[in-house]
Amino acid sequence: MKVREAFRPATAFAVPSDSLRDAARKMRGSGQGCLPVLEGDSVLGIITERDLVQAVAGGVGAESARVADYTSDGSITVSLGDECEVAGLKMLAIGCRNLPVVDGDGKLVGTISMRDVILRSGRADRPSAARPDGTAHRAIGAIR
Amino acid sequence: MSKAVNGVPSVGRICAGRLVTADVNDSILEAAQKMTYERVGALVVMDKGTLVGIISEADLVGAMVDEAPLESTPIRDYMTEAPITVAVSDDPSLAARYMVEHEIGHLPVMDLEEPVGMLSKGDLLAVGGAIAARTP
Repeated sequence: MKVREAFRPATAFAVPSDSLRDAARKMRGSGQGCLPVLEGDSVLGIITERDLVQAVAGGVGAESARVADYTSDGSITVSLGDECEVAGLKMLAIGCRNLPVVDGDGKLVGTISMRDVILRSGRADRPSAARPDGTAHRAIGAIR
Repeated sequence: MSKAVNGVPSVGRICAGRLVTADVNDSILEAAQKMTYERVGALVVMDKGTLVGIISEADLVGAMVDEAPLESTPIRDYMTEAPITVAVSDDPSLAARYMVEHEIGHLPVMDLEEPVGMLSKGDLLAVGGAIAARTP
């Protein structure tokens, strides 16, 4: 299946001057674990939940630090005509769960997530993807 | 951990992630540092030896959005309680279904009542081709 059949139209993006907290708010608001970072129409790169976690783990201030300093390589995108498998392999290679999707001119048109790739693989729809009672198992522990 | 059934590897076989745990009273900052140091995207949260939750990078981002004081806010305030789990012998298709339906990225892998691993979407993607080719 092609990326064009599985991607989601762009709903959120970051700009280099955003603070890390701005990026966190945009991720939370859009339900995305990764944001394309744009300068004009060009995709500069991506910033991920992992980037934010690593920044605060190192003592960086979420309000003062800028997205520009935590943006990864802008060449990591997929095109509408790429196979979903290609998107999956790129995600594995860079440890990201979402990738920007660009059109033939390199303009951002949306994102594709690991969930989209797994869903389109059909594995979640197989008969083996269910327990006899149809229920999910949950950990039994509870906060006391 | 677990054998392949009908040529299809079980969850226990494909689970690449080490199990990294945190205590329910650890701080959000400690969780962030542990995820970074251990290079994992989620921690199993334990309380007195029992699995009580899971906390992910997305949960920590939620704490950032809320402007929670990261050094003093306990994990218990942002974790998912009683998370969905899979057994070491379960079929990866079941795990894929849980992740898609419940929009979660990690599943603790259980051997009876004991957590023994953490399955990620990446684990499923990494073996996707092999599973797709070998599953009827």
